[in-house]
Amino acid sequence: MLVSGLTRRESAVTDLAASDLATIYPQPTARVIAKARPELDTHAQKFIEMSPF
Amino acid sequence: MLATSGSDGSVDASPRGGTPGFVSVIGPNQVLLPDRSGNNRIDSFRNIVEGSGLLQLIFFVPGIDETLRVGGKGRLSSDPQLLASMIEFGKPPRAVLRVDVTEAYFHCGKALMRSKLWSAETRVERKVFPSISQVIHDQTALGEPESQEAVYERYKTQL
Repeated sequence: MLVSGLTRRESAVTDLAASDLATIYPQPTARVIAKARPELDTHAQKFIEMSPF
Repeated sequence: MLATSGSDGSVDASPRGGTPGFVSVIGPNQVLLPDRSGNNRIDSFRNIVEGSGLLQLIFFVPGIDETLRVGGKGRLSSDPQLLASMIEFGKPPRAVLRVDVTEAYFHCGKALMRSKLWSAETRVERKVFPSISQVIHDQTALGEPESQEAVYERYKTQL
């Protein structure tokens, strides 16, 4: 079942252009864009200090 | 998780781990990641020294679905004093990756929630998959396949 499923999926693959993406995905919210920070704030530093992986 | 890209545009991602806090935060724009014993392919570090040095890290904390992505430029050091300051599992690292951070981004927890990564119900018994030694033997016909127990015991001496 998996193999036949993959075959169907592979036959349906198309090469999307960058301009196509905007037709599929809405613009991210301002909040999502703004949360990319230029440095490690206290939250990020604490997260790294807790991280084993 | 460390992702790097080489001078030819190829990319590499490899797991990194240690005790919590094994990556040292030196400041708001700098972290140090010790390199422990591995397979000596040094795909990541070769990319860093031969490519742009641009890299991304993703940090996981067991029990928390959000992850932290950190991007920046890496440089490698084998300074003896630095290595000596990062002893873990009784050994200094072989090298230290210094990352000059340019971006930090908390990913939302939806991917890990979907996967139930930290849930006990999604854990599998180790025996459902062959030992890595058996996998490599099946792939290459090199060496003698070890049981999972033997691999685990050997790994414990190589951390």
